Amino acid sequence: MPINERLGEFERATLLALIRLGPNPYGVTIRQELENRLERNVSIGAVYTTLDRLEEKGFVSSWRGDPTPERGGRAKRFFRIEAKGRIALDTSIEETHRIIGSFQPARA
Amino acid sequence: MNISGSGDENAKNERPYISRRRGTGPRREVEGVVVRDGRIVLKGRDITNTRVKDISKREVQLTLFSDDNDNVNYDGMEELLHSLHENPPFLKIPHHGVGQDEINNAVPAPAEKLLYLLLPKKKRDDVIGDLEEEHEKIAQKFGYSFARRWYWFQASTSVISMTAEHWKKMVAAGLVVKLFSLVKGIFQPS
Repeated sequence: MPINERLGEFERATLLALIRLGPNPYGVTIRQELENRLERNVSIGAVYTTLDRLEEKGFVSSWRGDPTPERGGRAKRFFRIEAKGRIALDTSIEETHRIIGSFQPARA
Repeated sequence: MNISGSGDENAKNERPYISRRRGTGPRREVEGVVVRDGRIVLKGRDITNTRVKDISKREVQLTLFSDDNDNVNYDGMEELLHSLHENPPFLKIPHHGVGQDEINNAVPAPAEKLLYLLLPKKKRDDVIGDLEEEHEKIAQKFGYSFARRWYWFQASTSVISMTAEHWKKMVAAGLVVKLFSLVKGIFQPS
């Protein structure tokens, strides 16, 4: 896999969040999902930076919905994981499994 | 307890709304007044620019909601209606025993300005829209004071992460150009 198609920890978490959230995930739901799963504060800026990077790589795509009153008349930007992103995610997870192997954490 | 009231003649010409800044941003329509912690708090909802036209009903209708102790003060009604037109968006509403309180249930304006100034234009609306939506949800759950602190935290960390990414790209592009000119200099016959 080319080096620019490797996924970082946060990128991997973001792609997993997109899969878990099902249809039409957007900034607010993605940030909340990441915050719940990672159990730490996640800034919306970090989420968009990551999503934009993933979009540049062709791993996700985005489109805009209709403007809504609760957002002050601004449109939501929805995201979807693409086939290329799914392959990169699978590869990344397989790679992690290979690295971990039969390692048993000390806490277990 | 709900009452509908009408204000002075000027106020009758238009339903009251809070405008953040003339000509920009959404307007916040006033739906009601809530007494919370001994203070009068205006309840509002955002309306898009297209729906601003809907405020053509020539009437003023405010609803007062009492708290459990029924301690609504109606004396300030006339002044309240006046304040809506005179001092948006920070309303100073006279209330017995409390004095003049600065009441603001909108997102913190300086934090929003910071985002407008420092975020890239194409990402600005996405970030501000998301923050505004979540701010309202958090305010309903934990109150406006907490929501404002949360907004500040999100705005500052978002600015840091997004501008850092931008500068990283700029520096990388600058290094490529520098490297290219160096390589070009080596192979160029003197």
